[in-house]
Amino acid sequence: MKMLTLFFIIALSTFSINAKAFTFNNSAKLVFSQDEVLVNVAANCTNLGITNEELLSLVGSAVDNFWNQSPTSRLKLKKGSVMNVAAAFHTGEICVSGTNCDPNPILKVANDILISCNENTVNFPSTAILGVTIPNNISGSTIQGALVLINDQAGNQFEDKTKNEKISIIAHELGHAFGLGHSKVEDSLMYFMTMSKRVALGRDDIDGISYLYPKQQPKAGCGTVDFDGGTGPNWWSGLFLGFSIIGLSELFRKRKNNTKAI
Amino acid sequence: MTNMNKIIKPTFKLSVLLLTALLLSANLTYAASKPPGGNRKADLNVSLGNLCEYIGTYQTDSDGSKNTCSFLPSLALSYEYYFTPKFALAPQFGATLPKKGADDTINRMTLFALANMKYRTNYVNLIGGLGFYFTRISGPGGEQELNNGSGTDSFPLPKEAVYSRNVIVNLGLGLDFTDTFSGELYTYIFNATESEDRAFSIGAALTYHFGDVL
Repeated sequence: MKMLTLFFIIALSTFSINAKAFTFNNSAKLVFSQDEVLVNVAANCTNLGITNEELLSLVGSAVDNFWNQSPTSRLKLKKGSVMNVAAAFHTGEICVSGTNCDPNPILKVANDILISCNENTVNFPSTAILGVTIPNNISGSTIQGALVLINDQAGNQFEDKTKNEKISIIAHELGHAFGLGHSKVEDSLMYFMTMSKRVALGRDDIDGISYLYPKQQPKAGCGTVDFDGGTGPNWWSGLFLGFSIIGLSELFRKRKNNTKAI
Repeated sequence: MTNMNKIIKPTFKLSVLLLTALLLSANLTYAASKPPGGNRKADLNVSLGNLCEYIGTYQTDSDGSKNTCSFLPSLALSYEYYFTPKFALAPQFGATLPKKGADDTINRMTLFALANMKYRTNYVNLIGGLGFYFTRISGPGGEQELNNGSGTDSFPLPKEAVYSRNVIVNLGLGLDFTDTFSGELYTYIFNATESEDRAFSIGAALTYHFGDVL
């Protein structure tokens, strides 16, 4: 019996499996503080060849088919609405010139995520660049607002993509908006290149969003039950649950035995 | 949903075939008619198996294929207490093997604590329960130079360990081979009440029963 137990332990300790890495888009590990983030769309793209409603529909598919599918993340992205924004969102630079991409204050997003078309050649020096994203309203390590710009220049390559590719491009940019950087894994949504048959998150994406926004179940109806999730496993609640059951079982057992003995 | 069916249907068929094989190979006159070791009131047991995480949830290649089953050994310890010859409470604790990146980038492992119930029929054991499923993710910190579309950029890597915690539903079937060995097939249901991110992990385990040793 002891040999068998030893075998189990040795067998487990000799295997190793490869996993791949996700990254952050900022060294401060920026995240939204809320669990539900709206994704709004700025009206009136010029060269994308789609209406406001079509763009909003793509956003809905991007959040539903990708980021909201992660079983271990608490973040839920929600399709917002079409908004009217200042013309600067369609023409302005996303970063302040001459800086290491300090956010342009004119394009500051008050809250949640805003997707806008943009044709600025500094943002998009090539038509091959499909989108750029920056969390541009930050307080400490909390993202309050993030901006996604889609290349709306004449001759942009976004226009020629299939519907599924457009959805995955938007989903990729949303990943940047809530805090993820690129992944070196090719089958990951956060890989720097698009993929014609991208249909779901990669495992690395799930790890990434779960790292930034770990799910903490159970949740009570009016607030989160605090079991210290997100920083460490709740060993004590698990042990308490298990040993309570065992203790009760033994108590019943002894009582039953005592009754029989009498 | 179609893709999901494509993945789950073969897995389900495989599970049914495996279970049938287990049934045929077992001694049916013994099969689950009594607790392991005869009329024991309690049983400490250890299980070694493989857990297929989040089947059909994530993409694995450029053709759009989704994950099926991968190698992820699990080890669990359970203590069963029989209220009646057929019905037991069986709290269980376990973990899966830690996964380590090829270049020490990401480490991931899972831990679980379950409050299971076990009901013995004449042929199989029905297992059901609720529990916690913890996923631990950590990294080495530092930065990684990656392509950003128009050049390369440095992207920070994760460092300190973070745990996510899911409440899971466990449903399973077991079969006693001998007094000391049994086999189990089970599924962990994540986010059972939420259709959007509901996910399934399917596992198989071989269990060794120490008996009433506590």
